[in-house]
Amino acid sequence: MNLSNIKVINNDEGITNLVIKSKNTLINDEFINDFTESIDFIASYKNLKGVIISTEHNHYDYDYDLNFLLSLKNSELIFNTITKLTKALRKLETLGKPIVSIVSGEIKLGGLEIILHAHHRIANKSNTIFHFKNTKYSLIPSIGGSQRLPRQIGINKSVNLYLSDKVISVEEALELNLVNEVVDKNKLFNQAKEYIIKNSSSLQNWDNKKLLKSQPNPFSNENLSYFISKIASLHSTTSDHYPAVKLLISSIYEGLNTDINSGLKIEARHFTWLIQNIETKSMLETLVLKKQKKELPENIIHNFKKSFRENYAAEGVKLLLNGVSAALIENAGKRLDFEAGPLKLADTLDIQCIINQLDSTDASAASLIRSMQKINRNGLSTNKGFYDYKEGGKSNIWPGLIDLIPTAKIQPSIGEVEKRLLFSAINNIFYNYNKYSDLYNSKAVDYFAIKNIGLPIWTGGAFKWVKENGIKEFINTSNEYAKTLGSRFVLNENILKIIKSM
Amino acid sequence: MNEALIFDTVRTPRGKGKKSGSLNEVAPVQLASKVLKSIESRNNLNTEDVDDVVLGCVHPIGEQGADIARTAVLEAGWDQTVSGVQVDRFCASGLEAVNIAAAQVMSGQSDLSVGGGVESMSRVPLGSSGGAWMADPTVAYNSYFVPQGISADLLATKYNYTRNDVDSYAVSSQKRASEAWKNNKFKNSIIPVKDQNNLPILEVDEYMRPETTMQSLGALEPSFEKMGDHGFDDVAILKYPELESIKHVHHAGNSSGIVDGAAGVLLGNKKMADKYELKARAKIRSFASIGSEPTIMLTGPADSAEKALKKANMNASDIDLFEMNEAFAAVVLRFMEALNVDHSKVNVNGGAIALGHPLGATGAIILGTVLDELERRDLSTGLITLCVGAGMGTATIIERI
Repeated sequence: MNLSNIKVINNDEGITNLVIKSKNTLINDEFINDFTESIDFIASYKNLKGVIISTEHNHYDYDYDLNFLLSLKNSELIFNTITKLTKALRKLETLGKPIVSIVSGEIKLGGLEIILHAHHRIANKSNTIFHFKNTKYSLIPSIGGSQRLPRQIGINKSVNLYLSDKVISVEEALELNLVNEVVDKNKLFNQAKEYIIKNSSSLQNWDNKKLLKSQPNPFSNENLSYFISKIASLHSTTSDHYPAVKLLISSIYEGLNTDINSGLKIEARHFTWLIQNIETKSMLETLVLKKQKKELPENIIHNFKKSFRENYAAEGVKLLLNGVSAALIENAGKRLDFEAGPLKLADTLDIQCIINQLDSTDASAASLIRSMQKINRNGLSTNKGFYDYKEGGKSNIWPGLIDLIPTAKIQPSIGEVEKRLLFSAINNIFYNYNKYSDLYNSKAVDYFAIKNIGLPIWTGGAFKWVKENGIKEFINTSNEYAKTLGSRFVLNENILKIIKSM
Repeated sequence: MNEALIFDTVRTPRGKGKKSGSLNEVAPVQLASKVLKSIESRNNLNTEDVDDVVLGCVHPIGEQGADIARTAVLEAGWDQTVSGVQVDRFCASGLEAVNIAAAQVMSGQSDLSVGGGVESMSRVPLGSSGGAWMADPTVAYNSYFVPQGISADLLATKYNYTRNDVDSYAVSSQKRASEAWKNNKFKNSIIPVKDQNNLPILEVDEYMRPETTMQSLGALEPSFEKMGDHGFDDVAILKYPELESIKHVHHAGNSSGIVDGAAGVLLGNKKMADKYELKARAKIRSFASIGSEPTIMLTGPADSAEKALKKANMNASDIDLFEMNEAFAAVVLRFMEALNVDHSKVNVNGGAIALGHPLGATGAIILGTVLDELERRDLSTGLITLCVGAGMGTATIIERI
């Protein structure tokens, strides 16, 4: 059988070679259909003794075709599409015959998910390398990766790998049980055949009734305490953003409380939700799909970044002068996933630069900073600024700050403070972009805004965020802020034109 | 509506909740059945008159699983017609069990019921029953789950209770408890735990440290700081963004002790009082449970007390004595502040900081403690309340007859 993505060759000994052809490393509709058809074909082969999976170009750098996935218009379509592949591979895994995977070259997430279906994985000693990509900024597994990896190597290690950008060498892969054997290139197929000949039948551990009890249990003492504290540390570092992180650990937790078949459905449902989530789509579209070839030069990025950080710090100082409590300001910045709270960032910057960011209406802000300078609170360099810095890296908001600037009795909600910081940051990017709008398009700026300048990654960039969260609302709120807070929120004609045309 | 009358209150001494604790050798079902046997003999009951035994137990797994209430009924040799049910409202389970037993009587569906509880924390440790609340990522994220110790420190931070405040409270709890023991104030309710040869296993609450001082407490490291550093402080701050950091003030010396124990309260109607010539020591005036914000978790006692007071048409000033479970010192400080109640009326014989908190049993224990004290002082009304996991509170008001 020879399809455009897959070739199936039956040999005389009853061993079938399933070869994924090199032309396409993106998992799309055609790929899924070809896989399904090939597996049905293999399943109907009466003399089947085993299957060897390999790839024509000797890599497993498969990943979903995002253009294809994002083009799927509704939940039903997405769910059915991804579960079609999952079911096909599950069928292969449960044929009862040994499935061996020849592992070589670069293995990316989709490729890993495919080879995890094999009962035995034999790796090419010379070139095998696993590339993990942090789920935080993209998608969770969808071909059973969140179910098979923890069942294979344990919960803790799986979570850590999926939330990292780790590169795993073949030796480490063997140690981790990602592969079962490492051999020279020329012995790969012989070893695979030998495995099939020696094993007349094959079952995954998660399908073997005798071994079910040894599968990782979320409520074992060790795993229970792991989940409890890992959830807290993930939640605290993602706040209400980066939903893939929560869904990854949810898939693992929920899936391992049941069997593989239910686990696969659980994973697919989370994936279906995730790919339709605005933050996820924004990040994928800006980071993966729309990445512009035309790069912003270093010096422009530098200028953007400098202005961005100073503006953010200055906004924090202004909030303080509006009577907002320092803790609320700092927590708002952290929740938004800026590099630090605005006041803590201010402590690392040249104070004069922050003063320069303040216009004439901000005389009180400038005078606050000057009065801090007078008492030698110049920032991190002197271990005293908006914060007190102690030995061992600990710091706390300077208790004297409240005497210098009284805190208002009625505080805004954290959401209001977050909104103002975010709008200020986006407007700052627009203001600086205005100068270059003829040279670089908005998508290029979005990419560099989250990659290099410091805008939180979950936004997908300034323009992207505005587009996804409502252009009209953005313009109205900016106008409101411009009236009450100052000219930094004024959108000039050029920018207005760009965002209205998005 | 019938009145739910309290005839008797019984409890075991509290053993240290570790392997070296005196009650570690006693299975929880035995602790519970000893309480039931004692209720039977003290009141000359024909147990076939008992309609139900309701027992609180927070970790109903392993040897505390499979409905320990019914198991204890059978083990106590009570009539097979007596049913048993185990309930879990976390730390208020023992009081909840009394409230359910009372409700059975008040509604006319029971003539005689037992409410109580049991927990062998040395044998079925804290946290044994797991749960989606803390382990399921979706649930834990959505509810901003933090462990109770973090909640207690969050409460102290939010309401400005210093280490000095909570330690002072703990010292007074120890003093009051040791005075109470010196004056034999628990004698009405306490039953020594003995073995099958009638040899004593434990006769006193063994967790107490009467020698506790501010200095000795000052030497203790905060218990939840490390836990907080692993992300839980940040989760608490996500929920309470007005706070810069969590001040960790609680430690083993100002938090409730981990202990083993069991307790029971015999409740019934007038018909049973007459049949057995039982003295109705008090009646249940009202009870209430509430839900509150789950991350700070421990503010529920004031809300539940107010709800119960309202139902009884009373004010806090109408209550003569309070028992507010000393889960953590800050919880009691907050309760007293919220209800504007003086410390002289609250936990007058010490509390769980000194004596320990056998989770499922405590509510029933402290109901007995306050009733004994009301009788001794010849006062009338008592309010019993406990803070409860996941943000709840349970309260009961009793009145002597």
